[in-house]
Order: sequence, then structure tokens, then C-alpha cells
Amino acid sequence: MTRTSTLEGRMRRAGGLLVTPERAAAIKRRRRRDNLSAFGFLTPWMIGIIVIVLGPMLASLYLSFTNYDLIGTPSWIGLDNYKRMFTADSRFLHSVSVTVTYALVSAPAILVFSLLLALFLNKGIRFLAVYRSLFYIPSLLGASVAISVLWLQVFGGDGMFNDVLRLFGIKHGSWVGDPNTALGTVITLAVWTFGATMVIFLAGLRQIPESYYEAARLDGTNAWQRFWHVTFPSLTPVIFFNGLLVVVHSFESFTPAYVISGGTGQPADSLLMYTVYLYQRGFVDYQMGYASALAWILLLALAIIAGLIFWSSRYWVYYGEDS
Amino acid sequence: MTTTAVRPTQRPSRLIPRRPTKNRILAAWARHAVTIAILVIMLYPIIWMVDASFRPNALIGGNVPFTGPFTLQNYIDGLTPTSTLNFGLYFVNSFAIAALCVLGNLIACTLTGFAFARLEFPFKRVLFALVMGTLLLPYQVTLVPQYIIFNKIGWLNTFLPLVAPKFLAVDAFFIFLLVQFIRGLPRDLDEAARLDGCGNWGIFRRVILPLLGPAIATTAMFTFINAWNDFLGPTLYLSDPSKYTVPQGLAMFVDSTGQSSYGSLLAMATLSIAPLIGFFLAAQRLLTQGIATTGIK
Amino acid sequence: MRKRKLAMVAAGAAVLMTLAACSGTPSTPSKTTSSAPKGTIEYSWWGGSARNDVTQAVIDLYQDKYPKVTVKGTTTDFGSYWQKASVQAAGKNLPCVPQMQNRTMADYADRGSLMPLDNLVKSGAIDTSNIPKNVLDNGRGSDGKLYMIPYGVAFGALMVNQTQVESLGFDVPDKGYTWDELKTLLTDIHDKTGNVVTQLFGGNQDLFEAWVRGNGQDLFNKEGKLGFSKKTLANFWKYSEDLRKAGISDSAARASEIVSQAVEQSDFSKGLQQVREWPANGLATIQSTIDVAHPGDKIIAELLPEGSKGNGAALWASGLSISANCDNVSTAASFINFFVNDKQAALAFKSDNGANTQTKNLKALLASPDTTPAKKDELNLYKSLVDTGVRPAVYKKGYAAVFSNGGGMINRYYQEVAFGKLSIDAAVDQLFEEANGQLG
Repeated sequence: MTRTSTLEGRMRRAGGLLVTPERAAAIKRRRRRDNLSAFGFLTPWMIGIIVIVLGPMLASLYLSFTNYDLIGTPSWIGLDNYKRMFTADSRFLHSVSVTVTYALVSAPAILVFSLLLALFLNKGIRFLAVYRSLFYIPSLLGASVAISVLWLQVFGGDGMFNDVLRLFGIKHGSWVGDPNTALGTVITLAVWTFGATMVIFLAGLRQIPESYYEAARLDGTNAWQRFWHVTFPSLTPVIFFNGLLVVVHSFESFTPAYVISGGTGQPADSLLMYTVYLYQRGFVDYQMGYASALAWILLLALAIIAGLIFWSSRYWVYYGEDS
Repeated sequence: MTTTAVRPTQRPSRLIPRRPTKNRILAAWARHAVTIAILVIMLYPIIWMVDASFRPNALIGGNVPFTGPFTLQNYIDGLTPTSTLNFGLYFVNSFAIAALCVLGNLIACTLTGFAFARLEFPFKRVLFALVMGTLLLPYQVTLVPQYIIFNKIGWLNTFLPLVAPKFLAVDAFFIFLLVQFIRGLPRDLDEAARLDGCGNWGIFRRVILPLLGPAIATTAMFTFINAWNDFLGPTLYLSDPSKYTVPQGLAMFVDSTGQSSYGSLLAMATLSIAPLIGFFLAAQRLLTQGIATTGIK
Repeated sequence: MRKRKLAMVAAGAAVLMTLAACSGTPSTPSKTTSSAPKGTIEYSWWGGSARNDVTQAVIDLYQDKYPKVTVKGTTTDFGSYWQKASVQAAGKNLPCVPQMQNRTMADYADRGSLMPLDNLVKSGAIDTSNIPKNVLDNGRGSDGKLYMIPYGVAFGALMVNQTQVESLGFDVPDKGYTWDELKTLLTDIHDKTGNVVTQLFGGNQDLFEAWVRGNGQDLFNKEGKLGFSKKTLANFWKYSEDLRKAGISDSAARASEIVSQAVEQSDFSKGLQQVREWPANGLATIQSTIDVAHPGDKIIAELLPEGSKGNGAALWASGLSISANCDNVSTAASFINFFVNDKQAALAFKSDNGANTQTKNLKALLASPDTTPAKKDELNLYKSLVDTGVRPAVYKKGYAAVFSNGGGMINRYYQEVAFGKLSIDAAVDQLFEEANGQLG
């Protein structure tokens, strides 16, 4: 079966090795089967991505170059929307600063708070399930109309928070109505609904094999060392996940500011988050073309931020599969 | 980064197990106390809301919680079907939509997550970047084109625009979640199964899925809650009041131009959290199953 | 594979483009023969649960009369209504009978989403003979065509807690009172009680409109740009600032935190303030709230103050339109005709969304024992307003963006003033620049 004189000539490269043509063909067949299998797994996603996501995304990209007013027909205006955004729209810049402030404060707050509580609750405290459920309840209220009622009750001029402060002799006006503090109440709302992040951390903690801890204990490590050498590394995929998503969500945050300000960004535009501004431009001012441009700028910014986080993950995220 | 290399110990570790000392018990109590304190602060708005839902003229007086006049009238008002409002029906609709969304996401996102986490195929990195990209686009902008598409295929006023996309893995959040969790699982099990003759599907079904308990529970829970709380989707796509969902029903209680019924709003808002908590508790069991052993031995 | 995928994506996008561009040409209206209505139409409205009940009652009456017709009613709250309507209009998918308001109608009528109704009126399919002309004209668009049949008219009113004001030793405003007289009254009350008397004025679209029109100007001019002068706006804001700084009106923070609050939760409805602006059709609601929160107080509704050129009242009409893409025009027309003219329907609806525009039905409502005293007060006030004649107002595209409470430019820039971030003149200049850049 071996052909001597032309063997080397007929050898093929496959995966860096020299193999016979038959083996090469077999590998190629195998790979095609693997690819087909993979794409089989991916079929639902591929249909979804084209029909439901990419199509509308491309449509919105097109619209961002038009003056679409939602009800009429769009007509091309080139880069005018983008030019206007950066040169003639102070509210746009203001919304960026509001959103960045919000993200810089709320994202770390949510992550740290969730992680601490997850670690705390993971210690096998009794009634863990009950506590966990109770901590999760605030995030269940979601976008309900009830939230705006509730937040006014707590942070309004005559609200409960001020009642408590009065006990300590501190007097303050409305937290929600004052432009200097309104964003703080929205950040508080975001942190208040931290339940989801905490649950994910808990799930991640649960997935760390007990054997790792036992091995560490046998080594005579203390609790802090165990955290730093066992818990934290194993948790890095989840921290990465939560971190990326919390950051992205905070830039895209819409509902808390919308609900509390009645969709307007008031008081004095202090709650004018980027997406609230986008919504106003699109659905109240009927400037859907401009709103589409705003959305794509946000997308680009988030892509850069997410890209940076992804790139950095190489240096600090440890995947169990690479053991 | 290897962390668990076993070194020879320098001195013998403790051989006699400790008896729970007073310090231990105090520590446990302290932990409970701290937790409860934090909980009370965090939940006070909700406690207020539940309390107010049992009061007549819910927002008028400044009542001290758990004291004073109580009434069930708000609940009765809220649940009694009128010609245009039928909360019992809304609960059923919300439940149906949410359950279908959970099913769709579980099927589609686990399949997709497995492919990205474990399989190799051309353009994998590009496609994954695409998955992440969809996470970044704000929904307000694809809203109108999507509406036009669904209009064209005649899906308006049905549950389909709300549910069908879930079966097509449009929820990049959960794809990403599952990819991260699957990547956290050691590959040794895969290889063992492959040696046993399993193909990709077999590995998926027999090895990966059973170990994904916490991730699946998380996906199911969040999908349910997001679907339950979604207001914009149902408002846009459902025009028949008999198909309305709970958030739409809640919004009908408060209207700036007519008369509002705050009592019913608070009552129904309280009730609407109940299924979510129920679902959450049910999913807890899966969530608490960690990987007891690595399963390698 | 990559090329193929790109091609697929491009094809999908192209298809979408054509879909969006030509998703449904407006159907030519079917001939309005006098055949009995049949088929299905969809009617959408906004409101809370009380409004929904009375609306459904009307629908039921109509379906009893014409059993072959199905009217599918769909409702949502006021805020979401417009978001949904605009998306539906974008998809050329508005319900056959969308409820409209003259203030926000232009955004739809001017863009071709609504069908002109003049022919239907002329042919008698919709009978408008009992609607006063100056009321009916509120349904006209910028091109003069009729796009909406008004069925209920609201107008701004000054709600006064008569009991409290008189017990403090003052008189409620006389007919024809001016802005200055109002200010004097508010100041007097404040001096006596030391508390906040009324809401913050500066961002309120209703009050501003009355101010503008009382000075003989309009919100919009013919070209669709701002129809009032900078001085008018500056003076209005100065008026409001005087009240705010003296503590007579709500503070800026307070006004902001209650932006989503329903009127029954307002301080006025709880008896804590004595004066408040609100559309007149809310009188019954407020009175019933006060009856619980502060029993014994009587609320009256008066017209808003007069300016240098007389009364600045404007009529805000809600009415029914027919969408340009409606496929069952004859039934839609018959439904509108019924809604507006049928006496039983009018009594069932109880004039819940403004005073009933149809004169005969208005009389029937006033005579009916089911109508509450507060509602009768509102209807009488409306009657007197219409009898004295109201200068018609034409609202152009972009009304909401400039004027609406909360998110409109008037309120937004006023907040900058009230929170001390801009001077009045700077704010006026910036508003004019932004508004005129966007309008017209």
C-alpha cells in the first residue's frame, strides 16, 4: 500500500503534520461533518440573527443617514445627523455626561455589593434560600408603574427617607426633585435591584468544586488566602460576565430614569440618560433618523468598551476548561 | 494559573475537629442579624407597598405599617373583571407568554452556547463578536423595523412576536451566560465521553446539560421575570384586551387624564410579584446544586 | 460561505427597505353607500379604568344596534397611547378608528396617516349638523381639511377650593378676572396661611397657552413656527418666578418630583392647596377625591385669567378619526356617527372626556338626573365658553416636543430658570432658537 517513489510528493499537510492523501481526505470529511454539526447547533441562532436582528439593525443604520420622521418616508441626508450630534447638540453631550457618571458609580457599586452579599450568603447560613429570595424581590418590580409611586414615597420631599433623617435632626428637601440628587436616587434604584447580579454570582460560587477548598484547607491556608487563590480565580469567568453586562447595561439604562422622570429626564435634565434622550428624539420629537444615529454611536462606544474588557480578560480570567 | 498544587505541609494540621464554641454561635447570630438588618432597609419600600395595598384610599393617609384599618377592597376591585379589565385573564396571559419564553430560551441558548463554547467552526470569532454585538444595540432603534416585519408576516395581535424570537436565540445575554458557564467546565469529561463514542450531540446531552443546573436555572428565572415584566412588547403587539399582560393591566389603573385607582394598582402590583417569587423559589433547588464532585474519577 | 452570507444579509436588508418604503399604499376609500354597516373595525382610545367602562358601554350599544358589526376595542394609558400610535402609523397599521386630540393630531394628519373626512360629512355618512362650527373646526388640519370629529372638548380651568378660600376671608375670582388679580389673591392667601397655595406655573402648557392667547397671540404661526413673542414668554416666566420665589407656588423640586402624579394625588386634591389649574373635565374627579381627603370642601371651576386682549381660552378637542389605511371606511364612519350623535351613547359615556360637543346631547346630559352636580358645573362652564365664542387655534406639527408638560421645551427651559441655571432671557433665547429650528 505504500508508494515509495511518489510518497513525499503525494503527502498532504493536515494540522501541521504530514499525512497521506487518504488520511487528509478523511480529516477533511471529518471536519466538514464537525462544521455541519456545529452549524446544526447554531441553526436557530442563525435564523434569528438574520431575520430579527441583523435586518432591523441594518435598517436602523440606513435610517441614521436619513431624516426619517417615523410616519413619512425617509430621505437621505448623509452624515448630517452625526455632524449635528457632535457640533450642534448640547443636550447630547449632557446626556453622555449623565450616563457616564451613572455608569461609573452604579456599575462598581452593583458589582461589589452583589459579590459581597453572594460571598456572605454562600457560607451556608441557615435559611439561605429564604434570604436569597428576599434580596431578590426588589428586582422583581421591574419596570412597573408602581416603582415611580414607590420612589416618590421614599425619596420625595415628604418621603420616608427624609422622615428617617429628621430623626437625626437633618432636614432636606426632595431627593427626587432636586437636580443635584436626582441621579443619586436613580443609582440607588439600580443598586436596589441588584438581585440578578447577586444570583449569578451565587450560581458561580456554587459551581466551584468543594474539592478545591478542601485541598486548600489541607495546605493550611486561611480564609482570605482561600478567597484569593481558590474562590476568586474560579469566579473570574462569572466576574467577567457580570462585569461586562453590568457596565453595558448601565450605559443602556433606560427604565429607572424613564419611570422616575416620567420619560422626560427632569429635573432640569439631570436624569437625561442617553437612551432617554434617544427615546425623546425618536418618539416625542419624531426625529427617528437622528435617534437611529444616536443609537449607532452608542453601539460603537459600547463595542469599544466591551472590546477593551474582552481584551483585558485574557490577563485575569481563568477558565476551568484550560486546566 | 495553577492554584491547587499540593505542597507537603510544614506542620500537622488539626486532627481533632473543633466543637462549636461560643464565638462560633455568636458569629452565626451576628450574621443573621446583619442580614436581617440589611433586608429590612432594602425591603422597606416593598413592605410599604404591600401594607398600602390593604388600606382604603391607599395613598392618602400616612399610615404606620401593620396598624390601623385594613381592607381587602383593593384586591377585590382589582380582580373583579369589568368590561375592559380582567386581571385574572392577564395573569394567565403573562404566565403563558413567560413560560413559552423560558422554553424557547432554554432550548435555543443552550444549543448556541454549546456551539460557541465547545465546538470549532469557521468564522467562530466573527460570529461570537456578532453575538456580543447584538447585546449592545439599544432596543429602541430596532423597534420600528421589527414591528414592520412582524406586521408584514401577519403576526400582529398574537403572542408570536413576543415568544418566537426566544426560540431563535436572540437573547445574547443568555448565550453569553451559558458560554461562560460551559467554558468553566473541564474538558476531560468531554473527552471521556468522546472515547465512549459520543458525538457532539451526545456530549451536549449527556455531559454538558446535566452539569449546567445553576446556569439553566438562572436562565429560566431571568427569562421568566423579564418576560413577565415586559411592558413595551405587549403594548406594541397586542391590541385585543383579552390578550393583555399584567404590566399592561397595571398601567390601566393609572392614567393622567382620567381617574386613577391607586389602591387597585398597589394590590395588583403586589399580586403580580407573587408568581415571580414562586418561580424563583422553585428554581432555587437547581440553583443550589453545585458540582458536588468534579466527576472525573 | 462568507460571501453567501453577506449576500443573504444584503438581500434581507434590501427587502426590508422596500417593505418599509412601500408597506401598503393607502387604500382608496370604499364608496360610502348607505348599506348597513358590517364587518370588523378596530377602535383605540386612552384612559383609565373608569373611562374604559363608559367607552365599552358605548361600543356595546352600537353593536346592539348593528349586530353584524364587530368593534374591537383596544385601550392603553395616555402616555403609551401615542408611542404605540406612532409605531402603528409608521407601519401603516393604525386602527380604523384611532382616537385623536387636536393638539397632537397634526403629527399624524400632516404626514398622511389620517383620512380627510369632508366627503363623508358632505354625503351625510357622518352628521355634524349639531356640532357648533367653531368646535368642529378644531378637527381641521393645517390644510383645512377635516381629519377628526370632536366628541369631547376640554379646556383649561382654574380649580378653586371655594370653601377654604372663603373661610380665609377672601372671595373667589370674579368672572373676567385678570392675571394680576389672580396674583393678588394668591399672595393674600399665602400671607394668611404661610403655606404653598398653588402649583408651579412656568412649565404648564395650559396656563401658558391661556397667557399667550389672552395677549392676542397664538402658539403657532401660519408657517408652523412659534407664534408668540419672546417678551410674552419672558413675562410669563417672570410671573411664575415671582410666585415661586415668594413661596406662593410649589418649589421647582416639588414640581419636578410630582411630574407623573395623577391629579387625585396632588396636594390640591388633598386639600393642602387652594388653587390649581386643571382641564375642566377633571372637576368631578377632584371633587370626589376631596370628599374623602378633606370632606366638606367644595371645588369650583372657573375660566383661566384674561389677558390684555380678553379671554385666552382654547378648546382641546378629543375626537375620532379614520386612518388612511382603513379597509372598512363605511363602518368606521357609521361608528363615528353613532358615537357622536346617538343620545343613548352620550348618556352612557357621561361626557367623560370633555364636554360633549353635540348640542342636543349636551342638553340631554344637563337635564339628566344621572349627571353629577360637578359634571353639570363643567358642562355649563363649557356652554358659556362656547356661547361667548372662542378664537379657533390651529396646532401644528411638533406640539408635544415644544409644549407638553414634563418633556416639552417650555417646561425644560423653565426648569433651568427655576433651578437657577439660566437667566430668563437666556432661556427664552435658547428656547426660541431650538424650537424654531425644529418646527415648521
